[in-house]
Amino acid sequence: MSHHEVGPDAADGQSIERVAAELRTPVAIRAEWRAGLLRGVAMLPPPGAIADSSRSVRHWRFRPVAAIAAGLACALVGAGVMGLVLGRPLRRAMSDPFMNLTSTMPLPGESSSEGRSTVRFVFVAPYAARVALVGDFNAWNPAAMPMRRSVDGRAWLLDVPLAPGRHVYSFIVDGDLAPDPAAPRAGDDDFGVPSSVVLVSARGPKS
Amino acid sequence: MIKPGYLLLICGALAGVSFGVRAQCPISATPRPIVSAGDIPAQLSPASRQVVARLGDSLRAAGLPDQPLYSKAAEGVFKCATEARIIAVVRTLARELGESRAALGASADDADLVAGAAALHVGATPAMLAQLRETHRAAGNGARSSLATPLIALADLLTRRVPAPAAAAAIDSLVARRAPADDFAALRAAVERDIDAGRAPEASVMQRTQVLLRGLDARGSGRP
Repeated sequence: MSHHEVGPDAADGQSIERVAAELRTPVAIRAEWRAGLLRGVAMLPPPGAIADSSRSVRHWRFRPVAAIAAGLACALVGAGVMGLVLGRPLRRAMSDPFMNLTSTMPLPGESSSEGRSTVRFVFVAPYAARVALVGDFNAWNPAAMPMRRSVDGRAWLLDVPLAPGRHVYSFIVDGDLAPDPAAPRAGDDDFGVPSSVVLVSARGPKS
Repeated sequence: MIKPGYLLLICGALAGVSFGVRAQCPISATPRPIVSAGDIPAQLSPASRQVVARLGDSLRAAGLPDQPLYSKAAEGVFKCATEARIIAVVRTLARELGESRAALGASADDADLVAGAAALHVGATPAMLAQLRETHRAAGNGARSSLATPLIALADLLTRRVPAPAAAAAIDSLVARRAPADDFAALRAAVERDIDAGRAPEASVMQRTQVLLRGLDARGSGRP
């Protein structure tokens, strides 16, 4: 029984050894082919050099996943910084009971001896860093009338004594021109940027 | 696959283009020489200043205000318009001030004339202004009573693309009822809201005017 079981295994082992011996026998090739083959092998870089080269190529390869992850990280950091910077004014604005009570308006009873009436210019811009008033009353000089931030921090104010008549004006909000959303448009906007109008009558200004 | 070097180049080019667009007309708070609001801007060339001064002289000679011309030139300089554009706009304003005087009559004050010129500029006709003056007079307003508020409201409606006949009719009906200045302000604010909400300007101005007229009826038709 055991002979039956051992016999085929021994035959298989002999066959494998014979095939292996045949495979180990060098293939007979022509001498010039062999020399060329050896020269080619000699020209190949060593295994360490191949690894370094592939690493340097990978270094310059654009990886979309990494770029998206970096973008998301930047956005998160930016949002955090914005939240820290703007959170306080936003909370103040949310708790302001007079949120809708700001627009350019006359100051009643304020009139100079020259017939000028004081107009309070108001622009609601809680997140602006700098707001100025320009118009025909200051020769459109952007440095002449910087506005001041209101106590609650959400609007910008300036009181200007104006002669009776129709006055064209605009606000400069962080370097950009903006018309007064609460006042009539000037109509004669010939230079591409809208302006607003305030009318000062002998008895006081009207928007 | 885009190499980071190319990405940087593209970003740099985009940033340069956007900065260049902004830098064409920087509105900075750079101090300028303080000038009176009635002066011709010093930034204009001598030839352009001479043209503006000559136009101002002719307006003064005709009894018209010349300061609006200088203010308009200063506005053009501030908004970085070319000198040719500024001169063209100032010439147009001078002509419209003359038309405004002809339509509104000798009793119109400077504010009326400038408001009338602005209304003409955005599509009102001299006949509309003359009709407004007649209605104003017929409603019992004094000769020295100002038309500037209705004219400013008219210009505002025209700026918001309300058709000129509809806008003029609305303003005329309020003037006829001696509506107070608050009603003109309410009309333009309501029409602006309607247009922003997608309503047709003409339908809005007609409906809002009717509401204001009914309010005047309820309050006892006009005020002295």
